Amino acid sequence: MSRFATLARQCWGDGVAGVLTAVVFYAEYISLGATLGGHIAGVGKDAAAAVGSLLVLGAVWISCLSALLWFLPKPLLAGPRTASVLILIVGLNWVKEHVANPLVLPTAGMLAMGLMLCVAAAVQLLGLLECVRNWVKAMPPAISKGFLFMTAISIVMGTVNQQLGGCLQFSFWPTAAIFIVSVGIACRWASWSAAQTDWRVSLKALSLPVGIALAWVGYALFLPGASSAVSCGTLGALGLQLQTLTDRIPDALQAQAAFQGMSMLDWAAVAAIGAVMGLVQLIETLTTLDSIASTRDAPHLWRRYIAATALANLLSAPVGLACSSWSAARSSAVARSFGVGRFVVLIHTLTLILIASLATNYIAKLPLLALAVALTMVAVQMVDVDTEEKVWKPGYAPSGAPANTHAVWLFWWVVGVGFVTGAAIYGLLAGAVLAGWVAWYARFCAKNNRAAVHV
Amino acid sequence: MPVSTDSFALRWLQKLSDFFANHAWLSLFTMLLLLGLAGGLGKYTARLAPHSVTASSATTGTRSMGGVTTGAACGQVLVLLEGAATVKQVSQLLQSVDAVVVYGPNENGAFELRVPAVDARRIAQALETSPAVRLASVQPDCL
Repeated sequence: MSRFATLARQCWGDGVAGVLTAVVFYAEYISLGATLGGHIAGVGKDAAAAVGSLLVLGAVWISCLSALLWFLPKPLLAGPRTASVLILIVGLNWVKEHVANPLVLPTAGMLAMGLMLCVAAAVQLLGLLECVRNWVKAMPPAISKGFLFMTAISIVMGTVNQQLGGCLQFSFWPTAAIFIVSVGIACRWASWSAAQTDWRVSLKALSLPVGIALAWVGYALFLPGASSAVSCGTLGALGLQLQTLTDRIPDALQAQAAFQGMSMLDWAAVAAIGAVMGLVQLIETLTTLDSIASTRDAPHLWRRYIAATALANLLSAPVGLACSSWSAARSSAVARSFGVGRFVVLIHTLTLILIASLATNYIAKLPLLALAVALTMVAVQMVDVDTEEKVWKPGYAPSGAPANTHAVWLFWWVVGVGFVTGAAIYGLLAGAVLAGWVAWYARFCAKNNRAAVHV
Repeated sequence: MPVSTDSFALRWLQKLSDFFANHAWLSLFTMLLLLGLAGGLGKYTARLAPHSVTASSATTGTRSMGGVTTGAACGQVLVLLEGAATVKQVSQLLQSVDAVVVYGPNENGAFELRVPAVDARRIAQALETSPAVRLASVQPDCL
């Protein structure tokens, strides 16, 4: 076969992989966008999903562009991830609670997003240092998995409170039944499809569209009057206008007023939240690189992957887009679809733009009930195999070693603190403090020949 | 033969631990949904509570319009807009403070706004500084 034919065949394969992954993951992007949009100040409820989706899709485009700029050899997909997006929301909520004059809230929120993204990029750049990378990778899995589990719980809580809540108020039992059945079948689909390896599309990733379709059908059949109810309506206008992004950039006077709207201590707190977000993004990126095994293929390239997401965050900061990090699930879907070249990233981006511009009128009709199912599936997918194998099973096994049992305690400590305080980020910090204290105590005991607790 | 309470409890805990180890995904999935649904429904109930009409403010909770009783929610903030205020100005103003109009204009031409419960006084003060607003005040009965 000629070289040209081989190249054309590879391009065709990459193109198909890019289109397939864009179609499969569009539902996840929209779900994340709707979640983020609900917390952006100055955006009406009818436009929240549209603005949030634009910010999420914008971040995907920027991160894919950044990946292309760095000539990364493996076609990995980056974009907003659930855990880091929820930390971004914690920062936005902090601004809402601490800004003195509510009238400057939209601009203050925009500035806070920019600040958090810049700080997160700086923290990610710190990850270029070998020692920082090793320190992050040495974090006990109980903390990171507990944080992810609590993040998943937060998503379900938010979904029940917002998207599902309105429908429950409209008609409780039919809504609850449609929700539970759709989530149950979608989960069954996910567990069944995990064993199916013959398909070109990642069937497991399709569990989200499957759940949405079931909920949509149930909504149409069993909640016929719901379409007229505002609280249990549809996603709403999704006109993705780029002008929305440019409108968000404040002028000097607005920025000054917004900056003075909060004390320096509050801005420092926002920066600290950005630092934690950067740390979580670094964990997400390193986990992805490990699972995709690109570092094994080319050990010197991991720095370029980290730098690419840091650059994406920096580019997103001026217009306040969502945060970006590498995604293992999306990247493995590319590999499943036989995407091997950089071309797949470009096609993925172009397909997203195409869907965003052509299909918004149809997607706007997505019932909030179906969105609730989609978000719950996003949460369920966050409970990964590592949570089971590294934390849960060893900890509860009949012959579990004390260190494994302590890991489960640490897991529940992170989840418990996050649940009580209402934010997973506090659980993460509490877990890090406890693990740090235990590590110090273990060293202290080793020095003094005493029995210590190991995590 | 008497059974020790400790051993009985320990045996059940052991069984529970075994179940968790043998059905890891099911346990995690159930915990996730249970905690998520419980926390979410709790938040949802709490969110609805501040807007529910108490006995003392029952007169502001339901209104009679042309002989029809409406169930409009009680607005914590009352605003009187400037005559020259444009729709765009008012929309931006309401969106900036996350407020919605629940009733109005009333007999004095004022609108009742529902705002995030904890911020009502602060939002009323902020609204008064806007050029589109002539007067803004809280409605104590609706707080």
